[in-house]
Amino acid sequence: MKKRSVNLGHTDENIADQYENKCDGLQKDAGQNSWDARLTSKGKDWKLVLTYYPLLNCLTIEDFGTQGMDAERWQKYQNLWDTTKADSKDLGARGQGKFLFHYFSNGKLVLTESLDGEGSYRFSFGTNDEYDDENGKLSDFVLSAKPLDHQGTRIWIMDLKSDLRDELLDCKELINHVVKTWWEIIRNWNVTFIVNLDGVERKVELPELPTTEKEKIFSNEKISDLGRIKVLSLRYCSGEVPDPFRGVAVQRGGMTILRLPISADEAIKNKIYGSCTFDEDLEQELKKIEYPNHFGFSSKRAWNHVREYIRRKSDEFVQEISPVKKKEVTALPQDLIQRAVRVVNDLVREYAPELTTEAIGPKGKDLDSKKKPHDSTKSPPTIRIDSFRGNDRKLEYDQSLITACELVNDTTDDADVQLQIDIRHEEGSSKFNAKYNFKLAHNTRKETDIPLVDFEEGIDQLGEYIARAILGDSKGEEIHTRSFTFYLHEDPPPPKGKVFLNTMFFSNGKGTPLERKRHLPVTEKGALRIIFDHPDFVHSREQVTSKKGKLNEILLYSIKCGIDEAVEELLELKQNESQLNIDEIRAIRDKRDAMYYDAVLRPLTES
Amino acid sequence: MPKNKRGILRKEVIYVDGKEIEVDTFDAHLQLGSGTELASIDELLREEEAENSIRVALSEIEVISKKYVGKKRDPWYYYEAGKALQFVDKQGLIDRRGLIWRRMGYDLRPDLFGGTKKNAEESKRYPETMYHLGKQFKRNVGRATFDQWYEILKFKDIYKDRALLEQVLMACENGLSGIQLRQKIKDLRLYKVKSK
Repeated sequence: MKKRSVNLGHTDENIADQYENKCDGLQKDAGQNSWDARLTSKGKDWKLVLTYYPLLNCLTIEDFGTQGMDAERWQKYQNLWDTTKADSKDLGARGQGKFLFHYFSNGKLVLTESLDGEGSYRFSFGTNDEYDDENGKLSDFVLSAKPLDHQGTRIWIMDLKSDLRDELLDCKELINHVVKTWWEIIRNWNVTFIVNLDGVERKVELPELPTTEKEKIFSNEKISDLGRIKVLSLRYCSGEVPDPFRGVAVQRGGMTILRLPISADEAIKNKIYGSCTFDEDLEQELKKIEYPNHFGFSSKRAWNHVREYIRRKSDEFVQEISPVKKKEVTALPQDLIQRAVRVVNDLVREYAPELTTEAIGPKGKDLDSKKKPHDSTKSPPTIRIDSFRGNDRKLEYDQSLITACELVNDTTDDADVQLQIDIRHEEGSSKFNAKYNFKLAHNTRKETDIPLVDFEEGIDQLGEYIARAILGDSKGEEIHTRSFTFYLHEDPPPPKGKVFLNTMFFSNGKGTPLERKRHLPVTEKGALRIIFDHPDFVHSREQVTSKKGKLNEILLYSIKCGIDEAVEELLELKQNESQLNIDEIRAIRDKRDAMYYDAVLRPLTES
Repeated sequence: MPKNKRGILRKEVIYVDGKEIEVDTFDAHLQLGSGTELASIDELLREEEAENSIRVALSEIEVISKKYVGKKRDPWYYYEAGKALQFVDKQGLIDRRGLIWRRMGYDLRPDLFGGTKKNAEESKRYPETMYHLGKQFKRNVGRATFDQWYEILKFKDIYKDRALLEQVLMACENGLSGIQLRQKIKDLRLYKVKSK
């Protein structure tokens, strides 16, 4: 075997690409490295100081109350992806974050000083490609600077790039990033962050949050066999919570990894904040699937369970605060683009199956007319399963099936119903079977809480699975059924039959009768023509400067057009069936909102 | 990212509420579920860039054309307009220049490119000649008429061989044109190949 040669020339750029906000990433990685190196577990005398020197155009990151780097740590620090932190309790896991520092420098030059517990001083200078810790001293680069004189580490990012410098020197913004990431250790251990970007030392203080009106604490809750939630706290305040604090902060080792948005009306969700911490086992599980940039988790089992738990508890909390029906949220797979391209047809299939004439059963066989899940000539039962779907058509072994199911009682009487959920492999082996009894109040919708279903390699058969929901009345007689198919560790076949939408064309409308239209009605062949130079579309493209951003904007705008068209078609369909009344219009509007949410908002808030 | 077929905006007649409407439509379109959605949008942006450049070039050529009223077979007009068409090189659009010529000479401003042609294919020839003429040394432009240049530049890359071009231009100065000129160029090329 031959050793592969490695070109590290663009490592910093590749790593920087992982960060949506580079300055946020910089403070997070700096804080995380220093916090990992703290001398005491509660961070006694721990301090991190970020200072900008305008004459040198450089930024220093200096920590106090830390171990400094001994020979072994020093060696690992100089290398990329060379760390033993992955298996430890530390925040860091990949040994790559420091490469972001090089990205901020024009010449990619970073100087590092460290003084360890035995008083050994170390100095290095280098780029992402190479470093030297033998032939240089700090004064070679910064004439007037004195070497580090306390135990800890100081990093000098030299000659900052002008665009990043301007962003970085926005003191208020940087402090905001620090606060929203490190609020827990600032609050609990009173640690100090100092930001000095304009000659003034500013200690980072936590903002005053509005008074809590209602609080709910859940502690020591078991999450499958993965570990326990240490504390999940949810607070509803008298006034609006500052933007960076809204939602539920998912914490690991004192650092906020991400904030899960609350699904509720704007007026309510803006007043809720909370946080979630984990025991060692669960924290370790989460660490394994944390993104290298520390800004999220991949959609694996541990995160799916945690996210679902938080979602369920926050939904209950919202329901307690307000009887207003919360917005429907559906868990979706992680990748934005994969999600987005499937969105229109999948959402239409899920939310408005009336609009597709697809009649595909297991194995892609056409269902006969009796079994068609939605026969538009027949009105749906008044007590029915309104939606029943999984989080993805394809699951891997370490993923979980998250099932959303909503029941509707359109009658004027309350009803006792029984819901049976049956999930089985196409060859017949049962994976999950459970019965639930509900009391459905008249004229209401109810979202059911179906447990997550995990799949394990060696135990569960790969291939096609069918999930069925059977709704029965109190006597056990079947009222309504719905089903969906998903595939375990196997690619699903391409959808067959007619889909609502298959092609999107783009035309300019200026100077033509189409000038004021956003798009034309979808044709029988499933083609949607979008007006490319419509001011709204032009505006949304102009909002972003990066090419990647533009691609996403175009995709999302196109999907919104598709959803709008689906809603219009649905309205027409209901009108033709004389089913259009104010409730139906509201229900369709809710569907549209949920589709928008699934298609656009959730991917953006999670990405 | 999978590579998409290169395209351009082109005129298309569509029917809306039973009425015929002519619109400019992008060749790039999104095929949902194909896995090439992002590549298609990438292509869409490329087509938009090309269209913007086309509009800029057309406005430049319009100004040039006003200097040459009634002299539409003047090689200097085609030379100057050809300079404006060099944007295809600068913006890396060489591989879709045929589509760009079609857009300019057929859809948008046939009057600037030798008038309306019978079909789109034919309409590409004038802009292509202009484009190549724009690459010639200024001192050579006046040595042949437009018709002669039209014949010369049908031969791909002929202008890159300076010695050959010199011989061809001398033939033009001696009054060769049309079929005779084409034959002469063929002979000169053949002779060159044999002498190698």
